[in-house]
Amino acid sequence: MVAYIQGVMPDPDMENMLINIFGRRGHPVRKYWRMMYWMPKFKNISPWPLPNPVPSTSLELAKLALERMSSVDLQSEVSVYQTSDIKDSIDDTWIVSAQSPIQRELLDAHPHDVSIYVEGAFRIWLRNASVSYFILRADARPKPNLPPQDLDDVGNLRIPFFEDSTENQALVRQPSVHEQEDGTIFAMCATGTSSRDSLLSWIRSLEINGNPVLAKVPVLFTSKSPLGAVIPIDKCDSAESTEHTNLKSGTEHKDD
Amino acid sequence: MITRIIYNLWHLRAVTCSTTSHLIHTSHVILFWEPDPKGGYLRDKPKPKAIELIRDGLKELRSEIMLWKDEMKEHIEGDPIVAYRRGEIDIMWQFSQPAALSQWVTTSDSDHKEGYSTCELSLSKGGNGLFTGTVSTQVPKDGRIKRAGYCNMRSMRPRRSFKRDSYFDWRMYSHIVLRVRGDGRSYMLNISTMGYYDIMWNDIYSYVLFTRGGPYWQVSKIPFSKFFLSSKGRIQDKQNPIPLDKVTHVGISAGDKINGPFHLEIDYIGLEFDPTHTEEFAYEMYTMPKYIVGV
Repeated sequence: MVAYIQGVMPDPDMENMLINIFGRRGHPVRKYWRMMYWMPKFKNISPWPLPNPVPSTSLELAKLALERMSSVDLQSEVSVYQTSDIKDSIDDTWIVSAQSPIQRELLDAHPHDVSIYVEGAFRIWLRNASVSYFILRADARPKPNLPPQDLDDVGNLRIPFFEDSTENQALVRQPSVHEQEDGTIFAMCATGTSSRDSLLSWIRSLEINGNPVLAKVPVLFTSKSPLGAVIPIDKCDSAESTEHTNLKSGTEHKDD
Repeated sequence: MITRIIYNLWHLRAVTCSTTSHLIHTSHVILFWEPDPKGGYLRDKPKPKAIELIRDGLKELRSEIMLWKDEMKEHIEGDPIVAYRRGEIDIMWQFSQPAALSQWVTTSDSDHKEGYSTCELSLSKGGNGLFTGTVSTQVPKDGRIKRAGYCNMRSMRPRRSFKRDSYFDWRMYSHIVLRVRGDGRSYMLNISTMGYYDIMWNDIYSYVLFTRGGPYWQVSKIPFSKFFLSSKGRIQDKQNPIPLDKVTHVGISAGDKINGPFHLEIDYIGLEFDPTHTEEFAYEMYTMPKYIVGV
């Protein structure tokens, strides 16, 4: 049964042919019924559906990837910038960037003397194509320093009828989804070249498009890609996967 | 189960028809009983000598007695969980320490020289479990292997003192909850319910674990009613809901036929009881004509 590996689904005509040839208890017929029972059940269960096949152009893939990743925040907007719009940019390529109003507020509230990081490249797979993406993040906010409480301790039960129930309650702002435990994520992007120059253009584009605070906050570009060395795969479908170039420069530079 | 016996019989016919076919058979060919729960995979592993076994056994006696003591204590105390509430996740595996990782075994096809995939389970920079590796569907040119490309991690089987096998009893729960950060690939979530008889050794209930990809964590809450039965990688015609009092292993496998590296960060695997979930089994249990699905 190579049919389903190739993505070809048999139709009821095929069923009739199989029944006529092999009978109602034949193995091919039962295989057909099995396929018709299970495959449609699982075909559309992905919570993040993708076109099949996925688009072959890297720009469209990057848009899909950014839309998928930023689906955690429904207000996120995916926008496409051109590096040629930025003065002094070397590369001429596209940048797909995703940011939500909450992320803009978080970035705006970020202290001007604490640096933020551009990190990447990370990889996301869309079916058989991979896209490299970068994130703009700050270190995680320190957790509110509350005194430790033993919730199971019943030695000091209090009667709440005669006292102010709001007393002794610390007020903590509800963290947004962007404040992850390993960092606050301000924006995500994928660029046509994944080069450091295109990332610099991304920061400049973000600055123009609603994040003026980026002119003041120091931005650090990490020099190492967490992806590490690229592993050669003999049968990798390189035509459909957007290959990234790992960032190679040796030193971090501070840019403000 | 009977379907599987018939399936084995069918293999018997296939073998006896041709005298040389057992030399090139990739699937299991011993029929009414299986000698080995591993399907012959660790057959070549040298067995320790009897004297070594006795020496090692005596060394472990102390810790086993301690374990037995704890079991007895727990039995006498008798302090079960009495209330399972919605939204409370009982964490079974928290991947925050190297000790937690030793509860898991990773396997890939290259371990048995049946492919080129590799994987490992390690601690990530943020202190979570990190299941990484490379899936490669390249088939070794030995004329025996037809398909390749899987990486798998599986928990150790629960046991009682003196190396007695045990089961997880998850009957009070309705969902398995995972907090993961993936790379956009789909993974397979496997719950083994290894039964007593050889024909139930390979019973695995599976469902897909989709990952979003990106820098954000996701919490996947999958009802047990969605898990379907397969045995030795073959989806079974005769399905039944997962016997939650007979859970032996939990595993996550990557094998989506996409060549390349994968990256799955896991914070915890937990269980939850959700009283609003009333579905018992997601798949139809039609009465079929005879000899189509089982007997």
